[in-house]
Amino acid sequence: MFSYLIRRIVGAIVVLIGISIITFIIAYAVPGDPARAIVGEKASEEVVQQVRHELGLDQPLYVQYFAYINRLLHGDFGFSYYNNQPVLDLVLSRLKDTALLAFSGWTVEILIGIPLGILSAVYNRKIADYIISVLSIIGISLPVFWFGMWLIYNVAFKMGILPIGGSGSIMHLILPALTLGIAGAAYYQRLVKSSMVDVYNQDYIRTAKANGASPLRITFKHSLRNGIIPAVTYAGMDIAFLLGGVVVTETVFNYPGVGQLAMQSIQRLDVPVIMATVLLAAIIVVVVNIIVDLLYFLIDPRISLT
Amino acid sequence: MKQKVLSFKSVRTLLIPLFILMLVVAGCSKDTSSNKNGSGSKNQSNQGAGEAVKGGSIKIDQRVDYAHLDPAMAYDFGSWEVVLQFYDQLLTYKPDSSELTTELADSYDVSEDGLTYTFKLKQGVKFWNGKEMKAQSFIDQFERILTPAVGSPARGFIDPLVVGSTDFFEGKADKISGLEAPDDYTLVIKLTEPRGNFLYVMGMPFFSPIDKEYVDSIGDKEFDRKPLGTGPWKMESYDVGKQMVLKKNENYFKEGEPKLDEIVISIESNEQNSVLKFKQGETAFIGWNQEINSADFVQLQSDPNFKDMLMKKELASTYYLALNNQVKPMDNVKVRQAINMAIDKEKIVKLQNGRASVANQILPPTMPGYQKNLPAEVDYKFDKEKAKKLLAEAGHPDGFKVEMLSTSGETDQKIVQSIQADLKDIGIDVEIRPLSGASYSDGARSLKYGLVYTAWFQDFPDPTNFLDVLLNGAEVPANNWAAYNNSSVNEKLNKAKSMAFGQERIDLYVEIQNEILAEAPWVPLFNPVRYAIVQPWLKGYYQHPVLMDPLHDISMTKK
Repeated sequence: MFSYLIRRIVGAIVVLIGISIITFIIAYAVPGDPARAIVGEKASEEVVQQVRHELGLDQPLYVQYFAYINRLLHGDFGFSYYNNQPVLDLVLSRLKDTALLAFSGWTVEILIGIPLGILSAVYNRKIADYIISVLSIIGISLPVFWFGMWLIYNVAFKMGILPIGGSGSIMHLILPALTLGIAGAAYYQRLVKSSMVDVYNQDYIRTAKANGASPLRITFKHSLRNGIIPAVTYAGMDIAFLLGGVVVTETVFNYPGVGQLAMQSIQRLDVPVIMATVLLAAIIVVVVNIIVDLLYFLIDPRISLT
Repeated sequence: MKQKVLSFKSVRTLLIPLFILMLVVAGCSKDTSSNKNGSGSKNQSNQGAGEAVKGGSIKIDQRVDYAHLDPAMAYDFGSWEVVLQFYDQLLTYKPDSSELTTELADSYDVSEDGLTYTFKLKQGVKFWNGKEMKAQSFIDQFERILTPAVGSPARGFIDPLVVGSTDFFEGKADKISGLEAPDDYTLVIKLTEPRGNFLYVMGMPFFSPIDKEYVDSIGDKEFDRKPLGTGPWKMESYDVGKQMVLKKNENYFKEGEPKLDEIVISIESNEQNSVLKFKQGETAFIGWNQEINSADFVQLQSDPNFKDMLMKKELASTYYLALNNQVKPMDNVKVRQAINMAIDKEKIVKLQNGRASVANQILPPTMPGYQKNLPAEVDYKFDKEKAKKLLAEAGHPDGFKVEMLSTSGETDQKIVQSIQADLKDIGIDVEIRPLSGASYSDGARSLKYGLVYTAWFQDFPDPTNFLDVLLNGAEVPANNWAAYNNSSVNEKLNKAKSMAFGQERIDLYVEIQNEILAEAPWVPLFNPVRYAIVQPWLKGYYQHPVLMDPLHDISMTKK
């Protein structure tokens, strides 16, 4: 297991270096001059040149990249071109809010998706299953931005029971979490259902039934542990899904997280912030995937990590 | 195989609440579309009915995070909204007027040759930390603006105009020789040549006094987010990306200002959410701080609860199509005149729900030098037949192909598509190239596009800020995106720039504008009209023609 872990970590570092190079090239390939973006439209060309020189933007791209990585390894993420803030402070101050939102969205997915998945497996091909399936299709098909705006208008504005966007309290979190979690909940429901239906057809379940085990015991003691493995697998990929979702959700709800920051910095061509947010997202996805792979082993000892 | 593992009586107990929740959310519509704090003022100026109460706190939204809080760096509407609250200048504008008045200066004197400006400063004005503002506080800020490491966009306003500015910038001198402080309350500025608009420049937020010791103690970068000025509002807190809280400066030198105790500003990047918050009565106004999007504007205009809360102001700005004089066939004046006549500007105004007025000249209507009755020979009225004829005379009876650079915003795209359709009617095939932000301005400066859809907003109410900045040959390609370079016009512009204020100077600008219009380097399209919406319980709000929202002047009629 130890050698497996080392291999995965080395692989992760290679992936992160690759991502940093690609992001750097894309950020610089986009037409537009960050120096101009900093000093504003009306500044003279001389001032722009001067700022370009100050930031080292007049150096060849590979020199800029290595200088950036060198600073990164010393913990220096640089300053935002847009508002002169240290990038690390900017990202870290928003990371807490994004983590909270992603966790809340994930909670919505689990709390709605898994029980509905179990229910539809239990009532497979019954009216309840059909109703859940229809709801599930609706959940998966809803565009995140549309559902978010619909909730803002109906729940926050018309009913006036929750705040219109922003952050700062648990009340601010409810609508964004619902928006973020609803599609994932539908996905978990389908995953758990198909997996549970499979498990119900296994011989050991039949044996358990023959031994007189109660339906509750069969579902929760014998079936769920096996039936939930695909959901755990999905949880790893789900992090990437949630990180993608927070960009849209945070923008719609004006929720001040890393997703909104990423979106704004792309619009502003704020390269140091773009780099930091992309690398942060990449690190989270890579680390969570390693953790999930290790979790398989704990849940199902039959899986060997070689 | 059919199976029944669980024996719950009915799954309905679980599903019904889900359906009910969906129905409740969709249908339960306690109507909050009318304002909670008032039923809609009939007072068009929104000056707020009833007596103002002392103090109080309001909430407003702000479109995006502040780019800069350092007055040497801030050069956008968003940042100026608060920078003007934190800092004062030598001169400012009268309330709701384009007329200059003294602020930190008690009086000023301009020498006869127009080269020496002497400002007598107010005494006893204090920074928020209690230190007194002195003449040196201004000199320190001038020096920061001319320090390469600061990277201030304001350098062009004083270098090389102020004596010794270039030497200081290049590190050849450790003082700006043209700035003197004979005593703590006298500031003398010497210029290399007379400059009619210099007083307006001194009214810009760049040239605010600063406490050098404080800036040195925290560094320039930190100063950009931890302001310290003499202004009416202090920054109590700033949670970047979330919220800024302004607290009244109790020691402000202007008695009775500011009128409120506190302003809480939420960074709200979603325009639609801002309108909903206003409708709920949560925010006090939507002015310079946020945009009202098209759909909401139409709805607000027809909503009896809100339409009387709207205010409007024609902005000192011109949206125009720059016709690149260096790209063929736009180098032919007849082609440029034909394009001028082919575009239906009324349609463009309609596309913006009337939030604009048709423009026929470079200067906006609020600017000195604007001509209400433009000479007929330079007033290109919409006439497609005449346009076709001119195009044929220019040797292009079947038209030609041209690329048009534009910004990528939703309304901008509607407008450029309308222009594209109009030009198609006279045979000109336009390919639209939408770009955003820095990519857009880089594209314009590359001078490779035949047409550029763009706009200019005034820095100060003087024609030099339009004619000189946008059409002097020396400004190609920095701001002169039409690549227009006429030596006679350049000469006159340089002359007018040095002239003292007065009718003679304005007359020269009128002459220059007509000379430019005859060559049609632009198609002036429209002057935008900005709408604000203000709660009826807010008193004293006005849309200033030069400055941002009057946060120091507003008060409430309730708490």
